[in-house]
Amino acid sequence: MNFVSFEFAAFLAVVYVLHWSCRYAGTRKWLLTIASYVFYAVWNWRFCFLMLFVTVNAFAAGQMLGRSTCRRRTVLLAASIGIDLAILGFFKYYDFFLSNVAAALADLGVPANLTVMRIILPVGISFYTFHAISYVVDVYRGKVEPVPSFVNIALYISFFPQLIAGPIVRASFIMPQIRQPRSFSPAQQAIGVRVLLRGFIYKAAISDTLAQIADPVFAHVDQYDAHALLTATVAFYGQIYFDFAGYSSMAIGTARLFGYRFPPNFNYPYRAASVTEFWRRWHMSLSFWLRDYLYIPLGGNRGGALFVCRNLMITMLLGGLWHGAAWNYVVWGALHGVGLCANKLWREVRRRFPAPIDMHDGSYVAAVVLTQLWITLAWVFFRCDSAAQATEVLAAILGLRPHPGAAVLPVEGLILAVIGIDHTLGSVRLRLSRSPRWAGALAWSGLGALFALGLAAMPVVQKPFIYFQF
Amino acid sequence: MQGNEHPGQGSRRTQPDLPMKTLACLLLGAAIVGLYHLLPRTHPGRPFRVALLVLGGFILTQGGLSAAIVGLGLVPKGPFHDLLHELTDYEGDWPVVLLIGSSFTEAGIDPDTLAGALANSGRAAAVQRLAVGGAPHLERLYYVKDYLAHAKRKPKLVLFEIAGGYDSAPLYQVHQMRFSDRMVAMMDGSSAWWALRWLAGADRLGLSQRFGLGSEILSQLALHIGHIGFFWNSAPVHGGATYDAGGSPPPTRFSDHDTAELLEQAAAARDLKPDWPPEVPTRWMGAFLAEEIATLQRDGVERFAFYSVPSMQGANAAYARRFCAAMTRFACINGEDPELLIQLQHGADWYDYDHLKGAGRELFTSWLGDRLVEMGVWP
Repeated sequence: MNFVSFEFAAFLAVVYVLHWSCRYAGTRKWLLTIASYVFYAVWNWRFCFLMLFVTVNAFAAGQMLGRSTCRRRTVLLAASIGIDLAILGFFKYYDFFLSNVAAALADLGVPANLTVMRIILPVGISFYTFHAISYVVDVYRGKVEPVPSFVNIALYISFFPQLIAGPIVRASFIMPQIRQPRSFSPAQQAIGVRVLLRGFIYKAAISDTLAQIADPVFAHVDQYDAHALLTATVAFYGQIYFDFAGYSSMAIGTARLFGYRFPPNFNYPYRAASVTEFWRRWHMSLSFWLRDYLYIPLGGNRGGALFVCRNLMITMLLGGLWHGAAWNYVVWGALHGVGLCANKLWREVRRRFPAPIDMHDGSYVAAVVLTQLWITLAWVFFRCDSAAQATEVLAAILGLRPHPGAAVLPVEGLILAVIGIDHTLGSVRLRLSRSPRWAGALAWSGLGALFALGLAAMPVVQKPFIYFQF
Repeated sequence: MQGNEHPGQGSRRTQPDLPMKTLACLLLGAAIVGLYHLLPRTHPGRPFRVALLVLGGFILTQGGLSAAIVGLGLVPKGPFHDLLHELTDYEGDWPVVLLIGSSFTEAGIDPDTLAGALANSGRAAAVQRLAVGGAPHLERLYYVKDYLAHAKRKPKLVLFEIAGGYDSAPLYQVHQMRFSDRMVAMMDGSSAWWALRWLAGADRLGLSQRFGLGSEILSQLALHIGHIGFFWNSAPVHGGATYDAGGSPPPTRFSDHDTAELLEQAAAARDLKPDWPPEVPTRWMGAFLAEEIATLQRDGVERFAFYSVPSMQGANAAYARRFCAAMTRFACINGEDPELLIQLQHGADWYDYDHLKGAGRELFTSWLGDRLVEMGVWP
């Protein structure tokens, strides 16, 4: 169920009314859990059982961890995470692994008859398994108490705003909210509506418009000239931001309507002056998850520069693979890993050899430009169907290979201007708590007006969110 | 599909005329995002007041959008758009004969041939064909109004196609193409009213079907009123639009023997399709036609007639027979003429069971022209 669809609007309206009509907090939690399973079943009801199994695994592990001794706890943790990763691995990576093994064996001249199973990838599996892992690890680390109520865990893992594409909300963050009864607050509702509208505008009015530029070109890379490929790359650079930030905003706004506060997932990432900063602003819930549950257990920043770079590369390679079972995602992750390592080493150099003169402003702009060029380069691998296609696109853009073909209107400047408007004005915060009455009226009627404009500017049929495929 | 219209026609989509449309939408998107960020953040205050303010802003903007759309001369872009552009531009001296129908007419009648046949009577005419595959009655009426509003020369004679499938299940195609840009574009208040009226009176519909269809109608009405997707799915009224008509389905190959046999069976058929109402035309259809005719009369149309295109499907033939038998007010020309059918017994004349092509189309068109003259419809 696409968030920008009539079906979702109707679903949300019904669940919203029922939720706030319920008198008891327990009933509300059951209602939200059932609604979330219905939401998931609309895509494929069979996989509800898989999600239920992941939930039972997390719940049981949490209960047992609460009662176990020190040594047994580690075994329990490993078993529970192992089950989650096995599920994720089977559904997401089995075919990828098998086809690569077959290809490698074929290269070696070993005949192998390995049958690819063409397994259906359950929507949102990457997200709900990470939620489950987050809960079990947080219980293990003592950050959250084992939850005695099954519905609390079920709601945490299946809550429909974050079920399909995040944000990946930590158990330690959301469990206290699930435990406490949610109360209806006009201020909370207002924030929810506002954030929801922002996501709608991002997705409907901008992302899908940019898709009209990027999609046709990336679908037939060989038919377009180098400048068209550049335009499409810049369009995708904008599209993925507005698409995913839009989705996240809608998820956060929707959760807020039910009284739940999610952490922010985006903070104007194209202002980042380093890849490190980029990951503090982009898909923050994933990057912090990877940091806390993968990077730090690997050793994190402790140790020498090479050791740290090793940890960064492992984290980003796995992060790339988490996005999709394909080599282009691995390359994308590797490029980000290289960017992180480069930044780490650069900071080390700057610490040891401070710049003789203050060139703060100029270097900042240069750093932003350089970082964004690197990010854009990585997005090409993310968007293309294969690493080979990405190489073709980059070679054409960089003029390394002639690439004749059709042209498109060069709108890169306009696309960057749209991103610039968003990133610049987004940080302007006008607060009107003591402002005249008309300002409040303007703010609220303005929201209605923007919704109307957004509706007119969106294509009738919406494209699914990009991150729904992960 | 019901099997009596061009399959696939309904699902065609308008192609955004990139890149200028993209550019315009991008600029609008930028403005919306900028305004969003500039809106002051304030405490909600009383929820009722806030809701009223949001609704007020929404309605005012919708009003502004409506005015802007009218001012810019934008109309929904779809298969009718280019057609209307061409038809409404006619400024010649000859009186206009307008054919209103679906793919049966689109495939089965050649306007030039019909104009030639009418000219043989001594009075030349400009024949215009307002017919698009898969167009339900509601969509046709919507664009008839559009046509009348913009036509430089109003028609003198209007000919309506008779088609059992469209008449008996007027919401079938609407449901098939639900939430498409085409259906959202035509679902104005009048279309929704006629659709709901049909729903209220239709037999053999379960409560859940009525509820489902009713929700679809009202939702599409809301989307239409909300101008949803209008900037993508619109074009200047006198500008061209790119519409992907899609490839036609491959033609069905009939042998001459099979054609003759099927036509014979169709001529002998007496029964309608089991899910069609036995009353021909239905009360709804009668009222709808009265509305359509009254609309045309208000714009000076004086003469009306009905016609059916020959079909190899018995139910269609039987329906046309019953329709013409019931139609006493206006001339009704049934394409199931025995002599005509004998001449159409060549497989090469038929695209599929219901659509003519090539020589068959020419033959039927000439025959129709002769009947219009003979019956005094075209004096």
